[in-house]
Amino acid sequence: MNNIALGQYVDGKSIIHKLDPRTKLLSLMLLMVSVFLIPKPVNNSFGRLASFVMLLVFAVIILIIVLFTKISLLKYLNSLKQLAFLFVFTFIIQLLTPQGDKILIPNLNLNLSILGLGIILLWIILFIIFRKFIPCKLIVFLILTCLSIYLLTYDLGYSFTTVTLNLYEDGLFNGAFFFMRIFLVIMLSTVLTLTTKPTDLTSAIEWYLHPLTYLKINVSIFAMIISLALRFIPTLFNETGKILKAQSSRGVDFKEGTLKQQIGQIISLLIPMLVISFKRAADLADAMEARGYIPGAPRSKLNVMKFSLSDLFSFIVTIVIVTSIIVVSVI
Amino acid sequence: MGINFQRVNYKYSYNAPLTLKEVSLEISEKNEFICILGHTGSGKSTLVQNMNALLLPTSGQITVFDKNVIKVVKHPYKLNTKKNRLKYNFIDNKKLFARGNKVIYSSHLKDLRKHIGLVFQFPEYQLFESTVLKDVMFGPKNFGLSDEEARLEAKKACTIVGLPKDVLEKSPFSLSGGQMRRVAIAGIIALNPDVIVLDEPTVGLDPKGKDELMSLLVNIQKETSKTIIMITHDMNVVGKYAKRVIVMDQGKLVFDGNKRDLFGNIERLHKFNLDLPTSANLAVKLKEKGLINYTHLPLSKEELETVILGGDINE
Repeated sequence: MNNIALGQYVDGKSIIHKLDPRTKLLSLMLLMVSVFLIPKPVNNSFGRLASFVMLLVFAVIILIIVLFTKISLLKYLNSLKQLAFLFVFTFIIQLLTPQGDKILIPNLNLNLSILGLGIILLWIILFIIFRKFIPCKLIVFLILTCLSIYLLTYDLGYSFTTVTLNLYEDGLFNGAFFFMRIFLVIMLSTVLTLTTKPTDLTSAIEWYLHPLTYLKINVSIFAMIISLALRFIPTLFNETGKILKAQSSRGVDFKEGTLKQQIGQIISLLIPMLVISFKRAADLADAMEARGYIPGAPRSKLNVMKFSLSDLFSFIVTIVIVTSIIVVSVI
Repeated sequence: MGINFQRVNYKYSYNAPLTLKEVSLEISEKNEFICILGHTGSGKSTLVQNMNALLLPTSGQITVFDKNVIKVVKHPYKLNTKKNRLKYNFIDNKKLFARGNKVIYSSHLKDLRKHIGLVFQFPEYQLFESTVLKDVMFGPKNFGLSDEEARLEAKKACTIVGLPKDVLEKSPFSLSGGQMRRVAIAGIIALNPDVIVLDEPTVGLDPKGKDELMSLLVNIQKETSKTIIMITHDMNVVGKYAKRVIVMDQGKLVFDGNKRDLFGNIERLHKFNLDLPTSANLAVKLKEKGLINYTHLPLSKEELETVILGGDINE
C-alpha cells in the first residue's frame, strides 16, 4: 500500500536515468522547442519532403533515446493513448480546413439520411455497451469511424440534407505534420517523466529558478513546499483508505442513496481528511523545526546533483541537433 | 451462526504475496472474548476486515451469520481462465447459486456490517459531525433508523461507554483523546451489532484510560453477552481479559485456543515473538526462588495477588 506510483516514474539504471535532472530537463526542453522549429510543409514537393525528412530524422533520434531508457515501449504507448483523442482531432480538423489550391477529393457528398444516421447511432450504442469486451478499443473505434463516413457517402434514401466536403491535399499533409509533431513532443515529455523522480525534477527546477533569489524571492521554500506536497500524496491516500473503511463499517455506502444522503456521506470523508491533513502538517512543521529547519536559511542537499561527463556529452549532442535544425530550417 | 472461515486466502493485489494463508476458524456469536495477537504485518487487521466484508477473500469461504461472503467478480470472463483458476482457486459463482447458498453481493454488504461492528485503530479520526450526539447517530441512520430511533440508540450507547450527559451537545473535536475514542466506540455500539471487533483499542491511551476502556468492554459483554474480538499487543490485557486467544504469524493462524495453553509453553511463545504478561513473568521468577508455588501460572495482577496470599487460581 505504501508504494503508490507517483507520477509515472519507472525505476531503472539506464544512461538516461542517471543523467543529471538539470541536463535532462534543459535538453528535452530544447529538443521540444526544436520540434516546433521544423517548418510547416510548404506548398511544393521539395518543401514537403524536407520537413517530413526532418520529422523522420527526429523520430529516429527520439527512438534512440527511448531505447536508451530501457523502459518497455508499452509504457510510452500508454501515455500516448491518453492523448489519442487529441491526435485524431487535430488530424481531422486539419484535413477538413480549406487550404492551398489542390483539392484531393472534390465534392465528397455526405448524405445525412435517417437510415445512415440510425445505423451509426446503433454502432455507437453497441460500441459503448460492449466496450469492456473489445480488445484494442481505439483501433476498433477508428475503423468504425471510417466505416461510418464511408457509409454516409452512399445515398440510402430518406436523406434530409447533404453536406459537401472538399478534402485538400495541403490539409492531408498538414494533418500528418501536426500529428507527427504532437507525437514527438509527447514522446519527449514522456521520456522526462518516466526517467526522472518528481523530487529530482523539483530540485532541477529549483536550480533553474535560482536567479530569482536576487529578486528576494525565496525559491528553496517553494521547492520544499512542492516536494513535501508530493511526498504526502501517498500518505494522505492511505489515510483516505482508512477513513473510507471506517465509515463503511458505520454503514456508509458511497454508491447508493439519494443525492442528499450522498453529500452527507462525502462530508463524512472530507472532514476527517481535513482534520488529519492539518494535524499531519502541524506535526511535520514541529518535526522540521526540531531538526533545525529555518525557512530561507541555506541548506545542503542529500543528493547533490553532479554535472558529469555523460551530461556534457548529451548536452553537446542536444545543442548539435538543435543548431542543425535551426540551420536547415533557415536554409 | 457466528463467523466461519474456511481455508481463506487473501492478497491485496494479484501480484502481491498472500496476506492470509489458509485461515480456518469458527467464532460463535455469543459470549466470546477473543484476543488476536501477532507481529506487525502478520495479517491481524486483514483478518478482521475480512470478517466485516471490508475486504473480500481472494479464495476460500467466509460465512457470516449464515450468509456466504463472496467476491462477485464484475467481468468473470476475464478472470475465469484455466490459468487463473489454478492460481487463485477461482470460485464459480454459478455453482454456489446452484447449491442454494445465500450469496451476499457487494451491494448487500451493508446488511452484514450491521451484524459485525468494526472499530478501527485510532477511531477518533473518523469523527466529523458538529456534535457528539449527531456523530453517534450517523451510523444508525445509515442503517435505516429514523432520527428519533437513532437518537435513542445513540443516547443509550453514550451511557454505555460512560460519556457524561453535558458532552453530548459539544463538538467532538473539543474533547480529549480518550473521550473522542469513547465517542467513536459509541458510534459502533449504537449500531447494536451482534459482534464487536476492535483493532488495537487501547493504543495511545494512558494506563487509567486503558483500564477504563477494558472494563467497559467487559461490562458490555456481561450485560449483553455479545462476542468481542480485539486485536492487541498488550499481553497484560490478554492475560487479564481474554477467554480465547488467536495468534497470527506471517498470514497463518498458528494458535487458536485457551490463554493458559498459550502462556504455558514459553518456548513456543517466544517463537511467535510474544511475551508473558508482567505478572506472569514476576511469578515465574518468584517460583524459581522458591518464594511462591502454584499449579496454574497467574496471568494478571489479581491472580498474582491470590497466589502470593497463599490461595490458588480457580479455572
